[in-house]
Amino acid sequence: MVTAQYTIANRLGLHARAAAQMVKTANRFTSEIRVKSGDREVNGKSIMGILTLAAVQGSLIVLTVEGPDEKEAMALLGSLIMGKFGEE
Amino acid sequence: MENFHPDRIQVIGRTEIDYLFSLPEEQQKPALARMLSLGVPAVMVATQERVEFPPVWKELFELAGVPVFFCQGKSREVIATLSEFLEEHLSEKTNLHGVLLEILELGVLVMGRSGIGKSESALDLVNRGHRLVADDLVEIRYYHRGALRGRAASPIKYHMEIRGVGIINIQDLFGVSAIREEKEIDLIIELVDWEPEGDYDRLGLDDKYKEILGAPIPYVRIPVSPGRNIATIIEVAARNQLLKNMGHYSARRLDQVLSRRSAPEAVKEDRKRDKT
Repeated sequence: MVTAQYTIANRLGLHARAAAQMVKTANRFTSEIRVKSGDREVNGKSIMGILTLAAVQGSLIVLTVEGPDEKEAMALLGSLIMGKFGEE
Repeated sequence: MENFHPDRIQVIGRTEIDYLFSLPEEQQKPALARMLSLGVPAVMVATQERVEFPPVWKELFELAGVPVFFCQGKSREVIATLSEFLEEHLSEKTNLHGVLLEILELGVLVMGRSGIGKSESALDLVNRGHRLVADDLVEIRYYHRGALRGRAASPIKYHMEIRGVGIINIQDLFGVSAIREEKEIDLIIELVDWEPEGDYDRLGLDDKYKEILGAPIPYVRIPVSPGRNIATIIEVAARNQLLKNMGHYSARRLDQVLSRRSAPEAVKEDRKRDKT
């Protein structure tokens, strides 16, 4: 199991398009992926779950990945979040 | 005084206030002081008309460090509203990944891994006139006597994600009769991948339960494979649960009928043994 904390850096926060990108990326892996923001933790492979987090710019999210491809999943998800989901 | 619960907030109504005021002044203070000495956390005065405490009473409360709240309304109603509010806000809660539906008045929680087809089956069921409570993320609260109530997280309420179509709003598409704000969970259905060697219930003779927040809820596991209409199976499982709730177990009845035919003597012996 790997855990890492990230700050949402893009201006619009985890909005629908960003959430969809994150879920698409998460679904490429077999590991279980959980995303936590505040006191709410959701399934990282579910778009509706990510949307309920309503994470705005500057909010902290904690990713927990568990499974055979956890390291690769965390690396890719981390670079996606830190790369502001390819937005400017 | 033996029935007095000093660890609870004391709600005082018109009757108690009138009683206190009816006492001779020199007895009022000791009566109040006795209640306060037991370590009451707070007092709420619930009356329809405003009550003003005499300065001596106020001093007593201040000295004991017990806050007093004044609330306009009948004490009976205030107690009911408060208990309901506290129960809702202090009850245990959890979030689960699944879809909550109301099928024939029964609250059915459909669970299973992502992509197994929970939302698609739910959409099929909504299309047949059943109601959606929450898709994907269900917020569950424990109420008294083991009742669990589920609802959707507020920003995504009444929305669903259907792969290939995207995010849809069930209320806009199907109307108010297709949704429901909150529902008690009566049955859990878990969708699992079909495995040829899988151990699935073929009879349904025994009831199975799954615990959520310590409350056991009837539980059914349904294997998913191409060609199985999951929505129909979920609906039938709900109907079967309704029958069971009424004390009618189809599998057990059939088993009894068959036993009477195949082993009438054994059945008679069992009956005799059960009687003695």
